[in-house]
Amino acid sequence: MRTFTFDGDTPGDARQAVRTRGDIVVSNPDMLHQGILPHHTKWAQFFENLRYVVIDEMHTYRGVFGSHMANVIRRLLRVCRFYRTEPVFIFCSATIANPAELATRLLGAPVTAITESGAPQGEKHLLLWNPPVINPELGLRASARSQTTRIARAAIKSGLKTIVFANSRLMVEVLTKYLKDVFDHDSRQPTRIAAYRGGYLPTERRATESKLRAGTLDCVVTTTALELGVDIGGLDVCILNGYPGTIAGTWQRLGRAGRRNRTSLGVLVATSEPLDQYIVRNPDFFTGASPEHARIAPDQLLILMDHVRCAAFELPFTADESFGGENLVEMLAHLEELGVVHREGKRWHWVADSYPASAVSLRSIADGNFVVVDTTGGKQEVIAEVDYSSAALTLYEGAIYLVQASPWQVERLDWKGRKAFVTKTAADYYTDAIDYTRLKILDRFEDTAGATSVCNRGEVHVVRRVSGYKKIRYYTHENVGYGPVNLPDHEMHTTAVWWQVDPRALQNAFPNRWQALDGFLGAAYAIHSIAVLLTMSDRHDLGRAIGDGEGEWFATTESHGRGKLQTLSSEGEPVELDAAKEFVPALFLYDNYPGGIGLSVPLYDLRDQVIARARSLIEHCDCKFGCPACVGPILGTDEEGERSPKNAAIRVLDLLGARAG
Amino acid sequence: MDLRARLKELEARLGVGQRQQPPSPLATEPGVLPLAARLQRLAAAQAAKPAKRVVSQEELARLLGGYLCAEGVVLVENSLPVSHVHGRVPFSQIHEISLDFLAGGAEPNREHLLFIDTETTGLSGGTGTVAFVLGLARINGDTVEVRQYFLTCFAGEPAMLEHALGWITDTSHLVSFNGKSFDIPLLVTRYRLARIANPLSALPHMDLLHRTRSAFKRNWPDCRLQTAEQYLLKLFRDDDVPGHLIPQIWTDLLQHGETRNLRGVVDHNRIDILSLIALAGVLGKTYAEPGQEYADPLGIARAHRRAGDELTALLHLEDHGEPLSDDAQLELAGLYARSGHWDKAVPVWESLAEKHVLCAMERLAIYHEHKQRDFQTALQWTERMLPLSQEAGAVEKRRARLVRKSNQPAALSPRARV
Repeated sequence: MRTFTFDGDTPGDARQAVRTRGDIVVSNPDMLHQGILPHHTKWAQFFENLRYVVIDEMHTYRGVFGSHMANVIRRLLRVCRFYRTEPVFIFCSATIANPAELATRLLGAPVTAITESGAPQGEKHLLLWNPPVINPELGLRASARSQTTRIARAAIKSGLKTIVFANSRLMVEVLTKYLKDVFDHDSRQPTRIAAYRGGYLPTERRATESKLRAGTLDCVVTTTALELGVDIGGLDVCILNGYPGTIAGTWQRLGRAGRRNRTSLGVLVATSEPLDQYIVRNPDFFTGASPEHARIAPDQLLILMDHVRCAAFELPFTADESFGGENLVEMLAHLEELGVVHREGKRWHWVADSYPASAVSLRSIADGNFVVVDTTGGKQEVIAEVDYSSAALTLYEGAIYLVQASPWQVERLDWKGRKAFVTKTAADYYTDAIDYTRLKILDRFEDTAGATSVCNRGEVHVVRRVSGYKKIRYYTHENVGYGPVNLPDHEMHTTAVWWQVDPRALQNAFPNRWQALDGFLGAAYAIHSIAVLLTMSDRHDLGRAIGDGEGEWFATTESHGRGKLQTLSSEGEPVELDAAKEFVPALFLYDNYPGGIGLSVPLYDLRDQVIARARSLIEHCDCKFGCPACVGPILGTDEEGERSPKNAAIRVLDLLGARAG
Repeated sequence: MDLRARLKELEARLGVGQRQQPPSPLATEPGVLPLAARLQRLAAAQAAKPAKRVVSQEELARLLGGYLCAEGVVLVENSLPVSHVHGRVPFSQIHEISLDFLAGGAEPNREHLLFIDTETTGLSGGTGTVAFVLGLARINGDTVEVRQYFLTCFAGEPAMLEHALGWITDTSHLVSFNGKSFDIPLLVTRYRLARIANPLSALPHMDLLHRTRSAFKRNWPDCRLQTAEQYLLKLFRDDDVPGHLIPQIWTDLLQHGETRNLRGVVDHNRIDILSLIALAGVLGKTYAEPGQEYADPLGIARAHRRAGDELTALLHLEDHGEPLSDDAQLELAGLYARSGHWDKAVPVWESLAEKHVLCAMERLAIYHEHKQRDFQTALQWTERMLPLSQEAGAVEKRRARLVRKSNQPAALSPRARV
């Protein structure tokens, strides 16, 4: 058996051998998309004999990335049909709630799920570690970093081989330093602690790997870099500094500890982020069935069209084919109108002088990404990429943009050219965009009434405007200035789930509208966190908003923590909560991509769970009146019983959660 | 909402309209106009679009001066006497010189060479690029025969590929300009897509671009085919269709029935192929006989050395007829040294060392240390290198070793005992 890697690092002269002599070729989605499929004739021999396609880490193919992946698989199947092969697909996944459903969506054909593991396994202990509260008023806890070091020290001293996962490269360095200060202060002794992360030289990484396998290291501190694929043998203890963002990812990392039939220990040390706090207070996430649903929307029109182009380049389309859930002939007619394909009888041929796959990134929708260019000292170096939807919020002129916790200031934003020019700065503040989101309900697809509320799903029109920004000093979080922002409005049609409360029930539950509004804002904050968890998405994949649904007014949380009402034309000036008009606030969670990426359906289906879990998140939070871990940052003076933002949010959630009948 | 409207809507929100613009003069919408304005413009553009003219394939055959050899394929045939002078070079020159070096082996039979060039829908390669003109030429007795296939539609491609096999299978060597990395892989892809077996990848290939580069790149602004024509063939094209416009000319035929410039594309392709024949003759001479016009003796010598012929390499440097560059002199001295002619190599190095050529000093240091075992002289050269070298560490190491060696009797040095 000859196994070869085919990726961006494979040298040109070795590629021929990979194509013609590999029994097993290991590659990645991007290579398949841009390197293999558009050149499939070079791989003719390979495709003619292709029997198995193994897709590992399937749970990572969700959201935008997963939707692209499903289309890459459609293209792969098309090419396989050309070579008259029907390979068997094998998907491997970390534990999620819907593995069979996800695989079926990715492949476009039914699959059989195998959910039992036959591998021998030693006893596993899992410790969920919440750092002690050090300021109960503010709900402030000891840092995860200090707790992680403490546990790691104890483990290493007891002679246990330990791996520590951190969520950023910076944190890897900090934790390594703290541990080295304890264990590696004698330079005559062999090193006991090592860091391992992206950005290190390959030789250095290989050396660390072999030391780990040989067992000469006692502890390695790492990022996702060591999560999968790299053989480092089994270890005794795995410590996670902070929740990795998904439960599947948590298991993935915890799996690094545990040798055959030996007892192992996993420790998840929570930070003060809402999700971390929620996870450690609900051990059933780890003992029961996974709550995480990985969803994709392969027929998202922009993504689908991108891949119709790529597929047309790879092989001409014929009239009897189909590609995805939309009408292929209509899509091809559109491309013909653009002059990139040419129809001849019942066949459509690619005719443009271009290579469509190079214009399609599997990790974003369309090519609207912004690059961040560092111009410090006259250089021109790209240091980051920001997707279109968050560019307005993070790259306005004057913004402090953080990479690895070091601050850069945006000097100039070239909106059309999709470039932000930044220089290194030593500012002691960060910036927070002041943005307004106005939603207008366009169409209602479905709804369910509760006793005092209605949950809806439908199409909405979203207008987002960034009008300025605040400068906020580190540590004290005081507001040290404002700046204006002049950017075009960001408008889109997308799908959303929204909840509305019966006006009379709302009136009975709250002494005045302002408190009701605060309740909605706090509830939205918690619901947003839970929705992100259940749909395995990133925080910016989902938007949240409070408004009247007609686009007349909307509410935002001010920096002092209290809600205020605005209209788009009032530009930051608060609007009176007019007593005469009916007050029907709606709480929206919307899919933050034009046309949506398929998040609203699962959210709607999981609506009861979303409300119940959001309520439990707030209820079981250790703070007294509300904190960033449950309802969002609150104002010091709000910490009085009657006006407790925590209670207000729970009251709103009770109204939303009450079942009909 | 129909699909087009939905897409326009989504694209407008993302501001991606520009990327998807076709390179057609009709598409003039900028990316960020409001949707209504864009749709309006589009409607206006469509109204202004001339009705598509249908051009029959017979009409195209007449226009191009060829005939229909299959459905969708026009074949344009031409023949010229071998005595024909292309620019200032007769095709017959190819008979008068040796081609063994270009062919990378034995002298090929001139009648089994296939000169090949294509015109394509793009330069990006991959399965979505089509060769809509396939030009071939071969020598048959006293004539040069040219066959040019022109596709009037995609459907003609398999027939064209099938027909071309007639000449391709009769071939011992392909001759092209950049065909190794472009035309031939592209044609192999087209054959595979049409499911037709072909011998192209297995055929020996004389890619004249590579040979042109090694022999002339130091003396020319670039090594495009037309540059080689101007310098070597004294051929200057009039009214030639620029290569970058060619893809669009064919697309315009398909999409709008536009026939302007089609003839120009076929003429362009024919000149390309004929130039290959003349150029093969000139290049053969360049590599066989030293001192040809514009030729760079260093590049030619290196090419011969890499092919294992050090004697011819030496000949090109010695008989160049003009003063050699420093690098060429280094190559020359290196060739002397490899053949054991130290007496000839050392003076060349010494004269270069006087001009502070670091590499020559290093050669001298090595020569005196390992050949002559004259550590003092080697040390002198090494010390002269020190202030000039970028790699002071390596030089310093050599110096230290030489100091040690020159302080001990030669008989005790470990190398001397071996």
